[in-house]
Amino acid sequence: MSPANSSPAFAEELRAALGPRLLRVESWQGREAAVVEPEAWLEAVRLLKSRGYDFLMDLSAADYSGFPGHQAPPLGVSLQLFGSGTRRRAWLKAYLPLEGARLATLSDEFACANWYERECWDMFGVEFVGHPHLKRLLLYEEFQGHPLRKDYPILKSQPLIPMRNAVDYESVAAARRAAADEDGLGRG
Amino acid sequence: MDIAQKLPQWKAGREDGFDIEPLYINMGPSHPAMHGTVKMVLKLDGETVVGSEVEIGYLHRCFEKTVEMKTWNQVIPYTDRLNYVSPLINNMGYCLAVEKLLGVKVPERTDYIRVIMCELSRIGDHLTCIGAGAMELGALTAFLYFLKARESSWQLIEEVTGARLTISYGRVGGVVRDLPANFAERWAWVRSQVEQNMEEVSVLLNTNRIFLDRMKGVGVMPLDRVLSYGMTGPFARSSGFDYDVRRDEPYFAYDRVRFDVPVRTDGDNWARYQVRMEEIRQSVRIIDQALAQMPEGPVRLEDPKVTLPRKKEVYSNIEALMNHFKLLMPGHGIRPPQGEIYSAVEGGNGELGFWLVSDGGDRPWRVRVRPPCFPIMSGVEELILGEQVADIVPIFGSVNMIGGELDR
Repeated sequence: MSPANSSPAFAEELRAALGPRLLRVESWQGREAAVVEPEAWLEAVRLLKSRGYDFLMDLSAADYSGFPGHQAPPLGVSLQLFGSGTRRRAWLKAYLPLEGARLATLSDEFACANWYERECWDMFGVEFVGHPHLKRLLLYEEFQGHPLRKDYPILKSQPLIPMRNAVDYESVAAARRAAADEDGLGRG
Repeated sequence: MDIAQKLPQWKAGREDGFDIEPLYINMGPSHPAMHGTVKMVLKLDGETVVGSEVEIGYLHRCFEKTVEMKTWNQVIPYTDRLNYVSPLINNMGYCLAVEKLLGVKVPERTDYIRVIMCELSRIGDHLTCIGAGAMELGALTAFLYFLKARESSWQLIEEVTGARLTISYGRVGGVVRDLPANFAERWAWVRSQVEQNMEEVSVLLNTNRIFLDRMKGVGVMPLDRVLSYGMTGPFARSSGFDYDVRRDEPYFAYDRVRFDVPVRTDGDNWARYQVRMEEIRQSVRIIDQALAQMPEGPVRLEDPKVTLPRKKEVYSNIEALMNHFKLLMPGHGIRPPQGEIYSAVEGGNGELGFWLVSDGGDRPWRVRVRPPCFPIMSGVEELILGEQVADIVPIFGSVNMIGGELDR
């Protein structure tokens, strides 16, 4: 990875602004991710956005339940910001519990956060507080569970669901025939 | 964003006091211009789109869940099906990410082969996008010419990989096999096909009044919205966002070839058409240079922890046989060290990223794909707002939505 990718400067800025709410900096092969407290999520993003990281490249999560040596709460939401001018990347992470996983929405900061957060809700069950339209994106509303969590069995089957907004076609057809008769147009 | 911001001259209701009830129309999922897998619920006032909701997920195949049950190598065929118009880029992008996680570097010749195959795919991707977009406006000839050109590039891909679409040509640590001996001559033929058809289609479309009217000034996405939506690739470059992963964070051998990144600032359908056309020419340029520079040498890493031993060796000596089984048995195989990596390549639609998490085992803990057309699709509701119903078709065509990578 090129050096521009692995700038820890963003972590220092976060440390200065957030203090102890920046929990730690994870480092994997030169890629640094700042782990912040979930309550500081929006603040951290706003700070980075004001420092030139004005582009939301990716937002997703991973379930670390059972991950060897993992101490923090299991649900790791990971965010990647990018500087459209500086070409630098910044990674931000927040670890949430499986039950009642909540995070502030970024949809006011970035337009694409809307869909990324919907996907994250769909797949991991992270509730983004303040999201304007938090509804499943890839799956359907009646789907039970959040499939990318590790406790979702790969062979789990989903129940059949009733037809949504089923229209009574017979009565619609009858009403149409009646209207056509009234117009004198005959049976259309 | 609502209609009042996008189209201030639009007024709900009429001045004579009669309110117009909006008409709701389902466009798709089985609509010929919806490329099979998207549904748009449109709210119309006459012919004007005053609101919409885009519904995706019709092609969701549980890619990210499935691959958690597969070994690192078994993921490769699944990546072919992400962007099925340019499968080689996905293949190579995934292999690159795993190699970074493993901390290995492939031989130099492999880098060049990967560049060549990725650019061949990009040519096919852009040809399909422009051709299909033109066809949806009634220009069937352009579509046929471009399919002819794409066919030649696919034939070459078939000669190299043995398949047209489900290629699985990349391997962690290299590629399956070297390019055939006559590759340069075959490429010269493909190039002549592509260039000839590009020439013909340019003549047909560039001054075509109907085509221009449908493309120019339609579906405008300003730069600030492109940045807010996190869009990349040809779509973002036609709105003035000068970012290309190949140039800005070079991978494979892209830092050793010269090419231009076409950028337009209009942000309309016409700019997107022009950028894609120019990118095809640049891809041709890249392949020419890569072929000229390509050194001789192995096409895959000879590392017993990463790549399989040669079959001849497996059948004739015990070390190679053991090595073979060590890489294939459950619980053994490639085992990247515990860690995470994000690695991006320039896909047909923009930045194609792989976020891999490894727990040190033989299966990925998490494979996240950042599909390039996902953020672009999330902006479609805004893109078509205030436009005419008929303009949805060319706008959506210029988005180049690929269901496989969008829905995964």
